[in-house]
Amino acid sequence: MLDTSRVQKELAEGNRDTETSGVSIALHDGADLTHLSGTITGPVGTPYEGGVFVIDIRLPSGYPFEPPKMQFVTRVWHPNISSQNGAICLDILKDQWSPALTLKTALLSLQALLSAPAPDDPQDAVVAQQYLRDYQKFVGTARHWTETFAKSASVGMDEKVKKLVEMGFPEDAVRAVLEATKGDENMALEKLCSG
Amino acid sequence: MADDVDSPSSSEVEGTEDRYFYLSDQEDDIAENVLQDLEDGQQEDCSWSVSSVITKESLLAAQKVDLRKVMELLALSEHNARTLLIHYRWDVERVFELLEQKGKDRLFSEAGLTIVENKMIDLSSCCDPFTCSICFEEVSPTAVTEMDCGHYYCNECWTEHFIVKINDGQSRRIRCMAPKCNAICDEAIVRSLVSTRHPDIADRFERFLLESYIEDNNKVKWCPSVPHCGNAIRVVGDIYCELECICGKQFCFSCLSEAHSPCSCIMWERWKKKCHDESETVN
Repeated sequence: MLDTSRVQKELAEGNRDTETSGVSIALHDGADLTHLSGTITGPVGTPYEGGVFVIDIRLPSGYPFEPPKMQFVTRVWHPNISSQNGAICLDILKDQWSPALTLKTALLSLQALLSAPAPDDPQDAVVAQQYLRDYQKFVGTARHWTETFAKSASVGMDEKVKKLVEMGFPEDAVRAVLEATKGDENMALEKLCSG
Repeated sequence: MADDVDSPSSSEVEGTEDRYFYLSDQEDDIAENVLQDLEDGQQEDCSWSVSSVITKESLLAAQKVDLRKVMELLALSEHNARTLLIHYRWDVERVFELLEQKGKDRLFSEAGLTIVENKMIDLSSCCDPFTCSICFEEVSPTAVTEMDCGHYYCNECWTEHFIVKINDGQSRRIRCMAPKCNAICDEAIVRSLVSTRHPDIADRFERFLLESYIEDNNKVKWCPSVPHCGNAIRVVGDIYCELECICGKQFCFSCLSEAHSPCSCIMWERWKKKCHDESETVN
């Protein structure tokens, strides 16, 4: 059986220093403790800088004695992450998993993976080839993908603004509130209603 | 290639594949030894000759002989000796060889054997509640177990970890739960913690440890009889030989198919393939 008390503690602990760590964890759909969703920010000085990457997290019933299943939802150009489906090749998510690791440390490891690709043990052979043969082109593609897919939060923002404006709130107020709630529509709506 | 399969040339038989042949005079010895083992029956500390049959009953004793050798020479506990032997595929001579080459420390650490002389803290003497870093629960110090490597977690978490690993078929090498810790868990602790909650899984663990002597051992193989007679055969010396199990099954120790001397294993494999392929067209 899934250790729910540990997961709940991890959720609280994992979001304590989101600002500095660049890592956050949340329930995927509010009720199911086995389906979470994490985000990491692209490390500074890498082609992923400035991007926010969403990771789908599924907890097996044996968690934390079995590793969590993690997969990138945000498309990313990286030798150890599938450009097709976001599958990740990282030892600690497989045989090197230890129950003493947490979702947060796993996400931090993913962030570290973005900084230090391991093209010799690739998940995506095409990306790894490019990384080894034409590094400049790799950096270009990775940056382009970050711009296109990992910054779409701001694209989504316009839609959210439009939706709330249609509900009858002034656009300035909507933008300000969405800014404050980091794009969380429901919280924004609550604030708009109460204020 | 196709020609080779259909009609191996005689030069090939006599020439390049010489090393796959068995000497027929050795076979008599083998047969004699098997017979002698049969007569010796349950005698446990019989010296291994060219080959011997290990029955379900003598498996434990056979394993103990090797364990004792290593325990005595290296002054190790049984579980540490077993960890070492599983890592080095029950090859006692190789363990002793490597001991000279690499020294004790490297021999041990490569096998996942950690012996901490002075334990970091004395868990039994401190009475503050302890927070397990896996379940994040506070537990009494009496419900905490420390492994040889010095890492300690609550008994509940250890038990859960052991069960997951045993169910995963990793009984022989259950590693400590600490990240990047290579140490193998003490089998006595595994046994006692698991058996209090799941005696059936503890039994399975026991069986896996016992069968490791056969499955992680280059010189011992299960008899290939179908249905399985439950016996295993151990050889000393050349593993390219033919044997007879006490169940009557005659087989080649190297490829486990029926006895096929003087034909080599590779050629026998090709012959069987040829027969199989042809049978489709003959009928």
